[in-house]
Amino acid sequence: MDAQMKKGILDACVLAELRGRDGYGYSILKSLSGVVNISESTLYPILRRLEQSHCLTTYTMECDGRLRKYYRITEAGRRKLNDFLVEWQELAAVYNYIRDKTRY
Amino acid sequence: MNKEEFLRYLRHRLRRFPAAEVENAVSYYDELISERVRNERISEYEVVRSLGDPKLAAARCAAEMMADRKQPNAGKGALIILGICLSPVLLPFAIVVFTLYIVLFAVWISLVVSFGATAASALIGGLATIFLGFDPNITLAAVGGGLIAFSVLTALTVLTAKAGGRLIGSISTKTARVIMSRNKEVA
Repeated sequence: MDAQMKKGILDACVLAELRGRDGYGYSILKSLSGVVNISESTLYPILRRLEQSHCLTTYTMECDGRLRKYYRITEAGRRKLNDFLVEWQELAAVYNYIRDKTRY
Repeated sequence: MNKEEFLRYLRHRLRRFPAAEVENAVSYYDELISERVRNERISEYEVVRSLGDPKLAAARCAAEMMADRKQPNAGKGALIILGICLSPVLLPFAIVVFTLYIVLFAVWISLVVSFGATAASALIGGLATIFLGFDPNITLAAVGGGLIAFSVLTALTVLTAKAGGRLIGSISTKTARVIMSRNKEVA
């Protein structure tokens, strides 16, 4: 898959994961690894990029004596997620067109 | 490699970046490794091994941090300009920019060359008096003066070369940015 597309997809996956509730590094990784091919080293740049573009905010909570960094989606993050869905709907329409044309 | 070694390695590879950024990356891995050890009941070594090549992890962090740098560097700026000059869409614009570049380079090179040539002639002039064999005092003064002139002019040559290069580089960058922002409207 095209690198640019993949980047966008993974960003959207992380945002979708955090849409319902906040998450931390490990929880996000666990949830996504069933769905997409994502590793620790690919997740970090995504989290950082989303935070930089104000799609996420972070806070730290203490947990059993350790510090855990939580990520929370923002309004901008939700909008970005929505944009992704709209774009891909358009893409799906194009896909269907192509598929139908190559069918017979 | 255990966790500490991995983190130390990461910190070392990212040493050129701002401290806050580096700490961010390091604490991310610190937390992640600890969580995996706890939840998956495997050793630090196994977790770190599963992270793959630490160089790659560091490279990915670095790549993301670099993307932040708002300034495209001078070389990149020049390349963008070249690329745009070759694109049919902005041809009229490109012609103007290209001409400007030729002028800039011509001026730059002529300055460098004239400084360099003057430097060389000063040196040669000074040395020549040795062979023309006149009053030793005059000869010494001429050679000394020649050497001084030579070093000053050489310094000027180098400075002009560097400064000129940097100036053209920054003009490239600024122009590239202007073109990129105009280009966004076109695209």
